Amino acid sequence: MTDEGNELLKVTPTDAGFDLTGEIDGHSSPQLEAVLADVADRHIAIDMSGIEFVDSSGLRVLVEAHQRAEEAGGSLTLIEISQPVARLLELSGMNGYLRVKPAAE
Amino acid sequence: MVPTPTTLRGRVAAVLIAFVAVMVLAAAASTIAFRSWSDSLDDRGESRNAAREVADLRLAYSDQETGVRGYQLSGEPDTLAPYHDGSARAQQLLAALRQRDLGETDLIPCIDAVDEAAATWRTAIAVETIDDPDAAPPTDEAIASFGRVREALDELERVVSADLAGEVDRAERQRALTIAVLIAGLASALLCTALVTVLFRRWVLVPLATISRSARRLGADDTASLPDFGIAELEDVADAIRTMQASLAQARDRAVVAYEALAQSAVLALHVRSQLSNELGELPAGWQVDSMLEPASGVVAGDCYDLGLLDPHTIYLVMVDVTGHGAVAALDALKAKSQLRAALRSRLAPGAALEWLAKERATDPEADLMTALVVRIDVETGVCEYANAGHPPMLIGDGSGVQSLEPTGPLIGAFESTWATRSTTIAPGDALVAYTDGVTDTLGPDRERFGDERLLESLQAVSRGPIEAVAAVRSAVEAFRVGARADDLTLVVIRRPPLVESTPGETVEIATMPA
Repeated sequence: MTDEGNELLKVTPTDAGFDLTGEIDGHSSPQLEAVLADVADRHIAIDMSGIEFVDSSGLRVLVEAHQRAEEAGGSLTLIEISQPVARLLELSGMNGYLRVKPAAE
Repeated sequence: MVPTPTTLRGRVAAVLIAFVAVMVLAAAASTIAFRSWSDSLDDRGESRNAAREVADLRLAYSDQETGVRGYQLSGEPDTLAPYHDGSARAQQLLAALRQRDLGETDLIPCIDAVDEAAATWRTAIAVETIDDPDAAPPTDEAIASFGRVREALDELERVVSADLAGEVDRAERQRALTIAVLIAGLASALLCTALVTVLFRRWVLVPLATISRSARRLGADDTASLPDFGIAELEDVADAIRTMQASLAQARDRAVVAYEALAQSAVLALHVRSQLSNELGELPAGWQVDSMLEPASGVVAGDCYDLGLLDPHTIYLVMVDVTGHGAVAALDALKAKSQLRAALRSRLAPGAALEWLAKERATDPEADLMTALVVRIDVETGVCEYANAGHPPMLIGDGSGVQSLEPTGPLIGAFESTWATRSTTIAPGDALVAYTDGVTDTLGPDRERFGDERLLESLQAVSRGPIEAVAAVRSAVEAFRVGARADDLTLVVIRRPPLVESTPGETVEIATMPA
């Protein structure tokens, strides 16, 4: 198993949830999936300000984590999302589905 | 050279024999010490009894002497009672003393000396006085005679006291020795138990833990080699684990080969299926099309598209991109594509086709998130009706000026939704471009993505035709790409024929120009 995903994505636990830095793609999305697997019943805020790129596999991980949180009584909020990530959410129509708090500019 | 492993059974037997031997030795030493201590206590009791009898003997002779003197003074026969009692007790005590086993060689001669001195006193003094008190021997002679009895008693008492002191000392030493032996035995038992525990851990528990770890690591695909344990039984278990490791590794390798073969086949199937779309031959009314589907390297991605005619006047295009990877995702994409095509042939509008597909997939728990495009084009008018479910926007234009056709609804599978059908017109000479995110997400130097701007720049070639446009995008992406292709690259370009001038002031489309 490669560690490439760990090099692409840095996950730092915070009081509110997690701080993500790097890219969420086919290599690193399993790492994020593992991190979010056990926190479905919590109210988690993910700081996305350090995320420069998300592809469809990363989007799938976020959507599924959001769905698990809804079912378990928790929540998943994406905060400080960057412009490329906001564009992806807009194109995919997920900006009205996922809890999103855009970066203050 | 690998040492021949000894058996665990042999080692356990050796340890057990040693353990039992130590325990037997400790028990024997303790028994002997106890017995010696007990014997010393018996000897001490014998000496104490002898000492008491010597004291009683002294009293018996004193009673005899007192009785004789009383009779000499009073002449009353009753006063002789102490004499007779003392005489009888003295004989009993002397007999008892002779039976004592003190191991003291001077004892019997001392008893004989007392008996002899007492006999002399009785004959010369006591009997003479009792026979005729008035003719009794002189007092100083009587005192001297009885004094010799006392001297003999003193010697007897010294000998018995010395023996008693020796026995008391010996009993004390035996007691200390017995305690020491018991402590040593207990310490040996504890030491042996600790040693057995250590050996059991080293010979059994540690190797078993190593084997268990190795067996568990098999689940993590870690087939680290097991050490040589040097114990036959554990070597058997380790060999079984090694055999299982090798078997699993072979099975894994076969599975990888099979998976790669399946992946290759699935990619090939998708590719062939999509390529078939290009074998439509001539599109009506001079419309041109070209496309590409470059499969990802090492994975089966979920891109596929279909292009054809719904009727002689209507071109359709469906394009889907399942977010998952693998053969299941690829087959899922193929199925979705077929469903959308069927919906269009049932005369559903593009948005309605997406809604119907979404409802179909809502009942399938295995269905993944998916983006999709559905397009139908009137070849006569260039009117293009489309619906877009979270897919990258289609582009429309002649290469110099490009319009982006944004999604008309979210991707399919996250939640219930509706998808609008929108309409635009493809002007003569303009092209409609549809692609998947594999194109714009292609990774280049410094982790930069190919992106929209490079795509638009490459699509300037669309003015020369779809074939040139697809070739330009393909070469630009390949030149930009660093590393393996991580996702499928799918691109479809459909171009409406440009207008040409037939007579001054009149233009007609190329396809309808008279021959």
